[in-house]
Amino acid sequence: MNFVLVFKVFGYLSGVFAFSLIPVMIYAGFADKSSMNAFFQTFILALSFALIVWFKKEEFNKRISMKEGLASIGVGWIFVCIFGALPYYFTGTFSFVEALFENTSSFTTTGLSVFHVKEIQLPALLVWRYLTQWIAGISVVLVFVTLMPQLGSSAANLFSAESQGSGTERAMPKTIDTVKTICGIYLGTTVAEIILLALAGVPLDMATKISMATISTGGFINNNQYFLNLDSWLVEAIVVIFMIIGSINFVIYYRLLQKQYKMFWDDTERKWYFTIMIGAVCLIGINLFFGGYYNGIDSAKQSIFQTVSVMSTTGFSHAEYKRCPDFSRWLLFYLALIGGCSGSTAGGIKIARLVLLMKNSWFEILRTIHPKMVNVIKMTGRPVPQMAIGGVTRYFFLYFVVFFLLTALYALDGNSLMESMSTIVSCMSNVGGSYGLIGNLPDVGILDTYNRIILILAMVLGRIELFIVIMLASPEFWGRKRGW
Amino acid sequence: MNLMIVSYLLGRLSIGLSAVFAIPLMMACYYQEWTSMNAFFCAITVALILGFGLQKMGAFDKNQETISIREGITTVVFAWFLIATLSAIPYIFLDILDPVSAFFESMSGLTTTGATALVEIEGLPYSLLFWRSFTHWIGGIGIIVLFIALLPQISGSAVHLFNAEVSGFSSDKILPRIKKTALALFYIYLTLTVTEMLVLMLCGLGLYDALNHSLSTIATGGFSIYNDSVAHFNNPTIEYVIGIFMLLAGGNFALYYAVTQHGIKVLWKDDEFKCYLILVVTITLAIVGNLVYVMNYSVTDGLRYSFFQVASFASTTGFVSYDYDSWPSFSKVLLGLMYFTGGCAGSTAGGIKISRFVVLIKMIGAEIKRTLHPNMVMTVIYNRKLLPIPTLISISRFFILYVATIVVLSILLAATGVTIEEAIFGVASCVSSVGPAFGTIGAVGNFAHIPPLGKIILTIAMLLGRLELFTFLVLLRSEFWKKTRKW
Repeated sequence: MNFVLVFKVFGYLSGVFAFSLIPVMIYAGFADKSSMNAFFQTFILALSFALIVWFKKEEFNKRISMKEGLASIGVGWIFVCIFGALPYYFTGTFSFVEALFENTSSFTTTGLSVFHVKEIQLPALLVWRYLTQWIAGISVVLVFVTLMPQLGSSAANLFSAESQGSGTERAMPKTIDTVKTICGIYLGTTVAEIILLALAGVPLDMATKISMATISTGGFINNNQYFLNLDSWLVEAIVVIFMIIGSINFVIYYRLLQKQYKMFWDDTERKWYFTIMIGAVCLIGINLFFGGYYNGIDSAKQSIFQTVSVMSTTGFSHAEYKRCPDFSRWLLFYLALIGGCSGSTAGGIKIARLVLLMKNSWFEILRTIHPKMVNVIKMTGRPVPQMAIGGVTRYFFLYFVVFFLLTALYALDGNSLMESMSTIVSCMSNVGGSYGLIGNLPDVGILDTYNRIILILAMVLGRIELFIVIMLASPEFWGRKRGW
Repeated sequence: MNLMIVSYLLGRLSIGLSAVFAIPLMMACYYQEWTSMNAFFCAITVALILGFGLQKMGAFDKNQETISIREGITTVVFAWFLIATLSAIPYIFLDILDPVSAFFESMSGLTTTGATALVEIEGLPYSLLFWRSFTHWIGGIGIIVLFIALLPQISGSAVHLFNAEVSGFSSDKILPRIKKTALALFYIYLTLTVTEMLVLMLCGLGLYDALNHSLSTIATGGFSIYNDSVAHFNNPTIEYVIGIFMLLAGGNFALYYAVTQHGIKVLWKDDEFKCYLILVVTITLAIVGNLVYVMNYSVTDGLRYSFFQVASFASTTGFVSYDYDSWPSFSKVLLGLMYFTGGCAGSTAGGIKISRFVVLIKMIGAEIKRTLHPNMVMTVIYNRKLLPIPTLISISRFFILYVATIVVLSILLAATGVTIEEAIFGVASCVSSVGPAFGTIGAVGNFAHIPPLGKIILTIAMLLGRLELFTFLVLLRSEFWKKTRKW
């Protein structure tokens, strides 16, 4: 493997990182002198890494191989998780694990936070928190669009309209073009939401915060009772719409801009996403209404907001989940497990995988009577290659195993069974806010270090393609080439 | 599809069952339980009338016709419903349970689940309790296998009947001489049962206790004749004996047959059996550690309780020797894992089966290799044989369907108004045929308070698990019922 390349990627990342710190630093200089120092230290550290790489000129092959690509993603993740945590740590208010937890939650767009408990008044740090959450959202989409298809990843190959049929050889200019457009869309939707929210009467700074949390489906706002206190259906409606926008494949928007409207309507994943969402909203609404929890209009409002919030893995909480009847909470638990569409900022198993798995299994049943039968499974009108289906089924099994292991590890500390299950699902799917969906609601601030580490693992494992993590951990990957 | 054949076979099965009812009937005579004697007599009458009726309606000429896959599947699924309904008659007649609960109880018995809707078990007639354990034993070996082994009529074309009921994925499923295999399985089953009964009697149990518990153990059922299950005896020796026999019952019976032919070393050459033992030992030790460390048990006590409970869950039996609900949640998660792994293929246990799990884990490794070397052909070696790709695909699909079944049924169950805990663990426990779950339906609880609709959902869960999903689910496909075939 070419380590030079990985090294270079690392260097570029530090550079970008250092520059993104500058605006926050300037802000801190004006508003929050106490945390200025923390940002400055991080900035120096990142910059020096970048400079080392910059001056250490070494030639390398521009073509990224599989291993190098994977290693870069791995290193990149470790880098952002640790470096992003440094500002929190340097302020001295957070322990290192707390800082890592906060930052991982931010970069995986989970939205769990220790801020509520610490009750700190460090505005610059909050800005940093919102900014990283927002950047994380677009990074996930970009990694999916650009890197995944080249890595032959099972997920990306399947679903994204972009990568289908184009094979591995793709013209670089086209990729850069795509990246630009998608960044534009991301920025555009964020701004649109800010304007709409402002028009609906939300103060501008809050509107910005909410839309950064919405489009990235991160769901962190430093006042988690905000929607409950505001109690405005208009604001809720806007937020719901943008949560949905954030959780649909961004390549579809790219197609829309290219006037390929048919693509949007034909997309199997989008169709199922809406079908499942509408079904769940109806079921939960009925459950809330007939269970006597809310009146008619409130049931509808509650069920729409909560379902969308959980499915898009944003995790805004409107009312306490605890107040929902068991059936609704159980349904929400499964919705959290599934998550949003692939190629979006949402987490979870993803609708596309679910649809594929279900179609596949539904067909397998028929093989009981026709053992020799062969079937082609189609997504958006295109047949899915057998190999890709196999990849998804194995992904599902791996997801299950990882879920189980993490639950067991989390339970080891004495957390109850249901609490462990729901917390791990919430973290693996990067929902965050639905923390305690089916268990007691524990306070994130009072978790001990051991539990925090487990949750950090869960968030990262849920966010990155599981196979990449497993692969990076396998000796096979680091070993020398053997007979190939 | 030829419904005449199905009807004929169901009729014969019903008549066969009426003969089985004679055993508890005789027992009722012996214990002079006249009301339950009436109950069994009534059940025999119903079974006979229904049997002759169905046989009369149908027709089957074994020299001319063969049983196709469709007829095999239809027969097996309806046979389970029919037998479960008939077996429920004594409970209803004696007014112990309402019809839905009685059906739940008898299906739980036949599918070797062991989930009970009875609140008070002690004090019921001896013959009825025996019948309850005996349904386990019948269901364990398999209604159809029993049928093929003991009745001469249909052995020639029973392949599809056999395959629809027997568990596991291996190609050994299609065996050349069905009748011989069925008989061999039956003898091993019988031998194990008798052996356990004798050992238990040596340990000081009475004949009746020993008989009931060994019927229940070897079938990996889990019905006990005491309210607090095996904990009633409070005797380490008996717990270890039952534990070991539970483990044996969770192993592959075809493998035991091979042992009788080729000696004991066959056991250690089998991947599945090895992994089964490794799993049991690992989880037992983890739980012992957890119990000793958190609950301050002595190591002896920890080993005693955790071994029994792990054996009970791993073999999907569901006996209880201690209130494991009071254990730390880490232990409970590990026990919950066994709802998925289940026992070995070709055993009376439920669940996904160890062999499938082993293959699934091996496939993860293969996938990693394949991603690194994209043009590589995926290979999975199991029991020193290269598994064909269709088998691999089928196994991963089975896993997905298993999880999907639990998800769908638990949502349905939650809709009937039970708590989340009851919904998920109840369904997981019934699909894997373990029986007891956690919380209100756990070690010291029962299923009596589940609403009727919920009981029906759980009954379906049990049958789905017992018939390994596909046999049952294929009935839901419209293609199954269509007359015109494109094949």
